[in-house]
Amino acid sequence: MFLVNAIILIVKEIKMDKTLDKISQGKFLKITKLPTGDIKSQLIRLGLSEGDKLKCTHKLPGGTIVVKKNRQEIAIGFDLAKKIKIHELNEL
Amino acid sequence: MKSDEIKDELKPINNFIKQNKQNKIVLVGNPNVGKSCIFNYLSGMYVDVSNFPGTTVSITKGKYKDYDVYDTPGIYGVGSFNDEEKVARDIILDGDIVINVVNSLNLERDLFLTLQLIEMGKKVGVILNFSDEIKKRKIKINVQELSKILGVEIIETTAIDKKGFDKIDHLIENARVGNQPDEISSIIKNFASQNIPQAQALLILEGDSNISSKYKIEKIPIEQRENIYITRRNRVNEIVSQIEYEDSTKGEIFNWLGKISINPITGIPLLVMILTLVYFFIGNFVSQKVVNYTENKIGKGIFEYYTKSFISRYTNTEILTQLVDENKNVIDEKLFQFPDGSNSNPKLKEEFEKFSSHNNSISNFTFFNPYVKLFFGEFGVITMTITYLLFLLFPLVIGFYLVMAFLEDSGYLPRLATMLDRAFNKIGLNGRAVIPIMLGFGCITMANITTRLLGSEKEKSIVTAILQFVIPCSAQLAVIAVLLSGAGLKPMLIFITVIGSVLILLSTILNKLLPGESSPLLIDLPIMRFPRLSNIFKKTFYRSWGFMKEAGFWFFIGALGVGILDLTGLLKLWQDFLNPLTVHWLKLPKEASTAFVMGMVRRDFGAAGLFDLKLSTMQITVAIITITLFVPCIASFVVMLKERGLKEGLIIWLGTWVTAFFIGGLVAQIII
Repeated sequence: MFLVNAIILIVKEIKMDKTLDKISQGKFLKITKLPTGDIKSQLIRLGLSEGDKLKCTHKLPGGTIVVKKNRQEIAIGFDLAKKIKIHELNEL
Repeated sequence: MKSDEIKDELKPINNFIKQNKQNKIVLVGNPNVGKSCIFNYLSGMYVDVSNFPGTTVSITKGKYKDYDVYDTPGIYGVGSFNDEEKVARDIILDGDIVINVVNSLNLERDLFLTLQLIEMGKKVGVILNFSDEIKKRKIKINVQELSKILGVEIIETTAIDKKGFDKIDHLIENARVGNQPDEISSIIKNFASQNIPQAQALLILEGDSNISSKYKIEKIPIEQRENIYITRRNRVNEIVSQIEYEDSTKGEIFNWLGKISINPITGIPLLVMILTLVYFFIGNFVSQKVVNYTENKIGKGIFEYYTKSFISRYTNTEILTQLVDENKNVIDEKLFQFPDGSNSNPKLKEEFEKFSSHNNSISNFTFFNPYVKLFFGEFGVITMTITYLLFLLFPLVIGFYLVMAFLEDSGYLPRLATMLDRAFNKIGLNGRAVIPIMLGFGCITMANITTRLLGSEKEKSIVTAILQFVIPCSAQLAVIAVLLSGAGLKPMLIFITVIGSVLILLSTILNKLLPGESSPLLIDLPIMRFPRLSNIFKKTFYRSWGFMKEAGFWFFIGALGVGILDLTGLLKLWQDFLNPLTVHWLKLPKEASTAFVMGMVRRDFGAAGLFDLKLSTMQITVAIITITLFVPCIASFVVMLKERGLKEGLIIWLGTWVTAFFIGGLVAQIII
């Protein structure tokens, strides 16, 4: 029984790990891994770094994502969102 | 006592040296932080817009007391990710005092740049702008504590009503080098022994290859920059958590307009509404009413008339003066001939002056000396260029920059870019491409310059091609609209379908063919607000002026080129050469080929040439399709060559010839 529960928990956890393009509108998330290269530096400057907790305020048809960190909103194109690894959260 | 006297005597000299040495103030900040408000306050009316040497980003410079004040493009950090950053970086490196404007609402984002500026070892003063909004939203910032942590002077302002601006003086006087974090200063010390200033050293450590090659230092691996960035980002987050308190979350204003404009369901109707308003303003008010007045009354009626009649005094001239009524019907006309110039025939000259002084008179001057023709004739380098630039293009450019500044300052454009991002992805672009394409409907020349803001060379090439091939400029749109208005719905549908298909086909092919990657969309969405009008007017003025300075010269060169073609008979040759193509392939009357040649000079000339021809509805459809796809005007051609290089520019230009005649002919074969 304990084992089953543990497996369910692990599966749930794995399900929570995804890329940013898979998030749905209104959900919360934590950034676990940013893509490497210049784009990483640009993301860090704008205020997005690994470990940050955000809310997805918009997911547009086609997959462009808008995230919100505190009072700041940032739009991220679909191709970039695919490269950002996140962990879905139930709350901030 | 004596030494004191000497000291006093030295004081003014010291002051003088101090002022002379420390006189460059650089305003630095993220985009949309109200930097320009502060720049306007400091510099007053006297500003100078110029292009930064070696690049194409314009900078503004003003004077405040004994200081030169430089405004820099909005940046999120100092580096070399794009042209704007490179320009800002070089001005900062060269500056003595850095005034960093910060959006109090976005400390986490903005302080990244602040810390970087401090770590560069520059004398820094910080302005926390939007302090009123902070209060509105019940956020508290412990300014004293922040000032203590950073080690620099900080003032709070509200740029909208200039609150706190009186303290800027104090800030400039007290700008100083801030607290250096230990990790950074220990590494940077190594560079000091090599005579590399701290600011440059930091940028070298952050992997800026431009700077490192200047000091002949090997490029530092990217991990180093990431480490510095992550450390700095963590420090920012830590500082913000120490000094900012949010009393309640209730203070947050519901940014409903922002939400509406980003969601396609509401955003597309909003876009249509905005475009309709813009159309009425630019397409109706500016390009019809204003330009009609400036071009015909001032340009042709006053400037060209007086210039040409002055010239006609000295050279063989034929003048046809017509009197017209309100409906442009000719009531009376007279032909004046001055084989030796009007000065040799004072009586006839007086008669001409009297006749042409009627209210609704139009005088057509024909010069016979080829050189006089080149400079003062129908396409005269002096007469046509000045009328075109000052009285047609300038009002249009002002109108468009006004709209753009309004949309920009309201925070709408980044949201529009976000909404349309995915659609643009399909053709190898990201949402930001919407800005040059929208501008293209105003003026292709202006839009060509704006392609600079795009992330990669590939994107710049695609957008430049789209602009030259399919986007009709406002001058041309006006004529097309008139031609289409009498023709009914069917031609309009055919026109839109054909042009739309060419757009999709062209961009898809280019996306497949061109090497390189397109950059993904990554933009900050500022809060939507009603823009400050005085800022908009100033911005519009600087930009329009900057544009005229940039495009003006090249337009003269282009006009000179066409003038010489005309003079040598090559233009006529072109016309004859195009004849069979026009008649058999496009199925248009042979006079239409003149319109195509004219279209090379000015796109609306091309379209306007079709008015006088008796065309069937389907012929009109073919003609406007061909004219729309045809080459851009001479000014945009030259600016495009300058922006994209000779090879790419010529390929695009020749491509428009082929496409225009091929597609136009294809449609003609089907529908006529």
